[in-house]
Amino acid sequence: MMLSIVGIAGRGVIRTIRMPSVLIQSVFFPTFFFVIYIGLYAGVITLGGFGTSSIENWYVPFMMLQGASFAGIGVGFSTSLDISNGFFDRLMMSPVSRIAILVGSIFGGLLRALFVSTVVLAVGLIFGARPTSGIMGFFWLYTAVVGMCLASSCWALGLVYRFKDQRIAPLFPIGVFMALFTSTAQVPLNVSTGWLQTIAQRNPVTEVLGLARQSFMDVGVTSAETIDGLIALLLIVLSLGAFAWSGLRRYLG
Amino acid sequence: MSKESPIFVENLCRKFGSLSAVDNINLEVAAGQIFGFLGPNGAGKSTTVRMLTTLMTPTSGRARVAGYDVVSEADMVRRSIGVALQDAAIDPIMTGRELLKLQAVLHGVSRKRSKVKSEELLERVGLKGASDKRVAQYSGGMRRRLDLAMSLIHEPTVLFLDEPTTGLDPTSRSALWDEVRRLNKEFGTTVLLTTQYLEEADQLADRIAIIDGGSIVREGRPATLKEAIGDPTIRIEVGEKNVEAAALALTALGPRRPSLQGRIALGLRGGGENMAAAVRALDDAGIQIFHIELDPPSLEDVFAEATGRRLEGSEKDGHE
Amino acid sequence: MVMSSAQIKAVAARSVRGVIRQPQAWVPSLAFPLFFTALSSAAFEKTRAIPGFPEVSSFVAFLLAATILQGVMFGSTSAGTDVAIDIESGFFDRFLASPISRLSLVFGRLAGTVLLAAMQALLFTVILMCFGATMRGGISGLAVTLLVAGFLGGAVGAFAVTVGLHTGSVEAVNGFFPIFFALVFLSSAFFPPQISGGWFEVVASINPLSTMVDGMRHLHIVGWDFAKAASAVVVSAVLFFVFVGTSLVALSARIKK
Repeated sequence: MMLSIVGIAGRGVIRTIRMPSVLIQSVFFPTFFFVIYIGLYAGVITLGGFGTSSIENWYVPFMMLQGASFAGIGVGFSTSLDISNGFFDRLMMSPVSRIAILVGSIFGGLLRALFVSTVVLAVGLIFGARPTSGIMGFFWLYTAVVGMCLASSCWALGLVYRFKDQRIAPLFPIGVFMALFTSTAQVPLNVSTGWLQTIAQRNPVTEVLGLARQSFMDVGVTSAETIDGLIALLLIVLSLGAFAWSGLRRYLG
Repeated sequence: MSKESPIFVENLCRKFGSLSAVDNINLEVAAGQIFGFLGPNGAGKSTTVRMLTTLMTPTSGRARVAGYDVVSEADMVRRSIGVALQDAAIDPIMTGRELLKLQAVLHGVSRKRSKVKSEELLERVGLKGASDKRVAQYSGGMRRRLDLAMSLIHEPTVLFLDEPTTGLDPTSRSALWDEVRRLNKEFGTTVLLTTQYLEEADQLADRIAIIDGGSIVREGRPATLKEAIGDPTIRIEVGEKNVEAAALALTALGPRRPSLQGRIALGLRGGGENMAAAVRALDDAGIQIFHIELDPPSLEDVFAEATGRRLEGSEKDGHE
Repeated sequence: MVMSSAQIKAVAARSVRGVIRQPQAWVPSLAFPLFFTALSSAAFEKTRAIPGFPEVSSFVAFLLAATILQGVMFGSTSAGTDVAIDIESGFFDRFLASPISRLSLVFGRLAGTVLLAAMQALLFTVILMCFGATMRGGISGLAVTLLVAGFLGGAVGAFAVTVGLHTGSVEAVNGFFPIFFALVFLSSAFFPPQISGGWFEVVASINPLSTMVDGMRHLHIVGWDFAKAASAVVVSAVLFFVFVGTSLVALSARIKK
């Protein structure tokens, strides 16, 4: 099974390398928005309650997760293409376990997510973001990056396996966009108001952002923030993983 | 029926809502046979192939491929079959060699064996020179040949070819036919070939089944099916407005068969001996003849007799 | 070939019909600005307390101009993609082969775009007024808002048509999308640049979109001001005429091909 996973993932890597425009696009948007946001909302940080006095520190982890999530839905786009040109049927007709097909497909997206988020991190550091929590902070930050990539891959794959149609593709980013922006992506809970505050309090992405942001917050890594974040991340990944897995099983229906 | 046959299908059905795409079909393909599955678009050919290749679950009935059940032993079926799908489902971003390697990995072929086999297959399908080019640069014929090579990398015992030559030019088509024949002869691979081309089925298949509206309407050796038709077909071009009058004038000479517009076709009783009688009958009725031909029974006649219509895109369309 | 109003009307009608019949083309340009406005107003409502923030009844009122700008800019690129699709499909040649005036090909399409942009602005105004936006400039303020939206929609449409005619490629037209994105975000649309400060304030101050936004915003949240209104109209009109010019040059180059 390992060889099959490597084979399918390897194809994902080859595709990423041979289609640089896709990679450039996935790097461009999070870095672009990072630069815009730190300029546009620089004054917002004066409201306080952000856990840092640096707008760069506030936005870097979020933009890394955004980049990772969009890299994840890239797996959905390429799978929908594979389904429309019949290549996916070829995979399904091979004696490879279905779990290998799922894992192998996601793996390509994971590599892209790590690349994109690292570029965003580098840009963040260049623009003045300063980490506060050393190795452990980065460990949890990248755990969140990997988790969000897995979650968004599974979201997109779950949809594409069910609908077997490229026309479903616009739903991939919409779902990710909604999930990310109705959390504490832009401002902390004590700054947000009304419906956004209500939803953000219940949105597990808020906890995942908490996990990721520890690396750049004044207080550093805390066990409470870490545990809450990991539970939320596990919940998101498992439920969307089940969504993708049941979609794949339904594919043959 | 023998359950040891490489392909054994019993009362197979597949419904989509209330529509029966495949309706209770039975068939058996003997080892080493090339079996032609012939039918128009939407007849149920591809749905049957998708069920036999484990890509779709039957609504009812059962099918065994290479001795394994397509539902409960799908994984074993997948290990035993090679499939070249309609439209050559290959990734344009990758090179031919990379795709062969991936296919070998997916089928658990050892690295050493995969290397040897890839070279052999690339040579065989004439893609050695292009093997490191991306598939996006391949012509339609090259893609089909690569698809065939990919379906053979793990040395399957049963090969499914779903409309392998649709959209190919005559040269590429005949090259692919040669390759299929060679495979079958040299390795004894059992081949199930779906096609909408009568000529393809006639050229390649040891046995054929004609599927229409989800049901098999004829099955047998092409020669036997043609013999069963009996009389040759006379096709006469009389112009659109004279078709009915001509049909009336020729009633006594044989049963009418489907034909193109402006023409009349019938199974001419007594064959060539009665050709003059047909000409006379039309002459007596004052109907002008623009063109006339007499063909021995063909698969087209078999199809027409079984379904009551001509097969869209059949070779005769171009010639008549 | 004389350009007749009937021809412009026919081409404009086709362009409007095309937009209406393809909800995937216009729903995002309505839904996204509204969603973004809802999101930003809930996230940044408390920033009104930051010293230097303009006197405004709600963040939604502050964002009305931004919502219009965003919707119009993203919605109007379809004029260019439609031209590129017509070229790719060969439909454009059918137009060229007909006795229709060449100019009406561009003016007809832009008339449709201008009309849709003004309608979009009106719709945003009505919707956001239900959620706390204001129109302190009254009917004249609304008229100027629609005029600026129309000119801006026409300018973006003409720019997209220029690219579409030059390249004949939908991908190339869509490739400019990130630039529009950047221009909108690098203006005073979403947050007062004087509070942002730094490089952002400098960039926003030289971005012509800021002049339009500031003019419209003044009419929305303060009241009628001729100078502010005029500056917004003049900037949008200049952009409109410049890009109509470039689209006509591109049309003549395309005809000669």
